[in-house]
Amino acid sequence: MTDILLKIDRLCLQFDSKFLFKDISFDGMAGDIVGLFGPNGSGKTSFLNVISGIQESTSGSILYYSGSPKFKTYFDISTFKGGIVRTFQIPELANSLSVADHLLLADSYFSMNICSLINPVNYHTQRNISCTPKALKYIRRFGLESKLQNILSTLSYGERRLVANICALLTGSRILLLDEPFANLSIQACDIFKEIVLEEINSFNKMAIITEHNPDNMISFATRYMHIQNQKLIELPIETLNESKMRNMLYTMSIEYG
Amino acid sequence: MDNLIHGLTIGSIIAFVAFGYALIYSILRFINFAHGEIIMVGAYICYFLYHTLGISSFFLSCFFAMLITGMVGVGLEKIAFKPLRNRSRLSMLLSSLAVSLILQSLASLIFGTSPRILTDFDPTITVLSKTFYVREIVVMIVLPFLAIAFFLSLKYTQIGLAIRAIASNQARAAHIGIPINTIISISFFIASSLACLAGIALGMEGGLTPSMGFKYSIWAFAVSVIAGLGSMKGVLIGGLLYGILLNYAIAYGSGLFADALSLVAVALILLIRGKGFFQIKLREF
Amino acid sequence: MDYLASVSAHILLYFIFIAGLGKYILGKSSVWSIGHIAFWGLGGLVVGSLTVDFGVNAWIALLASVLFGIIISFLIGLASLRLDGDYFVILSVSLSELIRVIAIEYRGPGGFNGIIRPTFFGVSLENDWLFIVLALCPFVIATIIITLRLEQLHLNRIFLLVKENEILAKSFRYNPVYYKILIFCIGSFFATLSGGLYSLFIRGTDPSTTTLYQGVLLFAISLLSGINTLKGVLLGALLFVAAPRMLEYIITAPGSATYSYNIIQLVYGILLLIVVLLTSRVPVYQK
Repeated sequence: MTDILLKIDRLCLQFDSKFLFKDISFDGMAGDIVGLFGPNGSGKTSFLNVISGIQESTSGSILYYSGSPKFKTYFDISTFKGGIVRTFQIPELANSLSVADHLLLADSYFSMNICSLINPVNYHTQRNISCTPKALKYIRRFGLESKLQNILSTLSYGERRLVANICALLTGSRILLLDEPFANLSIQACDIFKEIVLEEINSFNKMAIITEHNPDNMISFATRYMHIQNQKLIELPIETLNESKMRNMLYTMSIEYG
Repeated sequence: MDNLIHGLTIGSIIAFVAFGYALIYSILRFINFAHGEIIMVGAYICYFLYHTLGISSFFLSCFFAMLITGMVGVGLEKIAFKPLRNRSRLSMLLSSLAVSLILQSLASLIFGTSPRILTDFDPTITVLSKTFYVREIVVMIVLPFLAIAFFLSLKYTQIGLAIRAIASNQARAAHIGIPINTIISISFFIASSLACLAGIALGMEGGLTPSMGFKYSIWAFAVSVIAGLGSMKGVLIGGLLYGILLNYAIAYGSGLFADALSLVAVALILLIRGKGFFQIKLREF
Repeated sequence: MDYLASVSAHILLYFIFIAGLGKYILGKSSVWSIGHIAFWGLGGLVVGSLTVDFGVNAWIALLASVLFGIIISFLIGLASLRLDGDYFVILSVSLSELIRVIAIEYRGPGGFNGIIRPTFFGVSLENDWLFIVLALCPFVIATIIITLRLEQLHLNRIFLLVKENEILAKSFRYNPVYYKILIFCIGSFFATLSGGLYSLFIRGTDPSTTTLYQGVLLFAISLLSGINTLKGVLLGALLFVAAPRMLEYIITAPGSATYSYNIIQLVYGILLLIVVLLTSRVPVYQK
């Protein structure tokens, strides 16, 4: 039984008199992994901004989990029912905190539970583990366990992105908006991340919208294939993504479409 | 009715001061705490020109005082704010506080803390059997003129366009070749000259003391918050209204009552409304 | 009054204040409480009026002042911390002026007189050193312990996250406003406490310690040395207490006390400006 987690109806975003996108409608269901493509400047990131509440739409409605939070800021939406989480093209992180800190902060257990606030989980002092088993499991799969206590500012760009991505998964939000999560990651890291995302999506009935430039990253991973272009959101059959010949053909066609 | 006029005068002065704050805030995004002291500086400069140097025409003294104060403002900006502009906002704030301290103590050292009389004349005119001070009328007339002139130039002149550009995005404005430093200097000049005018008006009413600017600072802050930081339209209207209300509060209660009331009112407005009335719509995400 | 006792007491009291402002508010949040001295003044005002005008026991008055400080800081925080920090700065500065003016209106520029020191389980604290050891030191020690302990809690992590990156905090479902208000209340708690204790020490209140000038100096000192370590807090307190006394010694100016007061104020202003201009290049203070 697939429930609709995200229902977007005739969404418009306008700057001054120019429309970035116009009358976009979309239904996101549990289990969806949406690959969102489009040329630079087409509005992929703005689309995610609007869905997550970071930017306000000009018109149109968005329903989250069949309801709507009273206020539509990022915080209100992220705490509404199943939540929403967003990663950014430039990873948003706290540079003076360690990887373990991020994992602890992200984990939904900690943010949901008041008693956990005064839980004396040691801060600087303990050099051995200090994060939840699930986070540890993910970190180990990426081989980052040795960097748990490292401050974020000392990590490489790819490692930072990995941390940001993992934290997004750990928040427990059922709607994931990932903005170019594969940038700067090695192929192995990409594969591992895809496995993890699939696990999360299937075990917890989540959905993800992933913006990407390179279709190769999304082959055999995405369940839906969408383009934002010329102010419209177009969905193409998933086969066209997986079959490179068909993809190239349709790609050239969609450019002419504009 | 007298109360109303007096309130309008106070309000005009507060509006002048708040306008200066708003202008600087909208361009540099920081609250210039030293601005309140510029009022005082302007008044003392006029005093110096009129009494110490003995310039015979009061108007000339005022005129030159405004010019000089404007230059002082520009100079302060170059020394204390410009080097910090791209650093942190907190630094600029602290710097403006430091400047305010310096100005106040300098004034105390040079002129002493006992009030100085700016002018021994304080002309009044009688219209329809009601007596008004000329300076009140002047301030009340100059303000709308200035406001109109300012907003017209914002909209229709090159400089105005430049100011708006810088206000909306400083980095980009610099990128497309707008001479930021010049425009900022001009803005400081305008704001400081206006403050000087306010100081002269105040000086004619009471005496000059080193701390005369501070009180108006606090009031101007309240107006800035209520109107929305950086909103130049808002502070003009808000300043006038605030002045009227303040005057009533002082008349019926006391100065303290007025101050307390205004702080409570500001806090309440923020609590309920969540932003200033004319606040440029900033998306809080 | 024993000079050494007076200096020691001042150092201890400002230690508590700077701990609240520096370690908590400036160290764990991005709140710029420039008018924080308001709470020092509030502490003294409440203790003064309750003990002198209403004959309340000094400890209870102290407790009441602290509660009052928390309530006021909560309201101010609630009103302004949802918004851009500049609104808060304005409210903070306005509050400090307001409290100073209220104190002067209420009791004149000399402040309260004749505050009676409390007793410590029956032991009279009239002797300065006794007061320091039995009343001030416990609070200072408590401050130190609480501060160190807090840093081991998960809550501390959240504070730092909110301070550094609000968007990320929101992603993790922490409401930045709650935490900013909380840290502000904690910082105000310490400030009110130290102000109240101060009035108990000097057996009165001194509105000249609550001017914006003093407040700004304390803010600057807290910012420069009181953010990271408690040693830094102590250093800041030492600096704040020792500097004017040393300056007075050096600048034996002819003329009235106001004259030297103004010279000192001028020196402070210039020093502050120089320090701000120099340290602005240090990345730590960039925000």
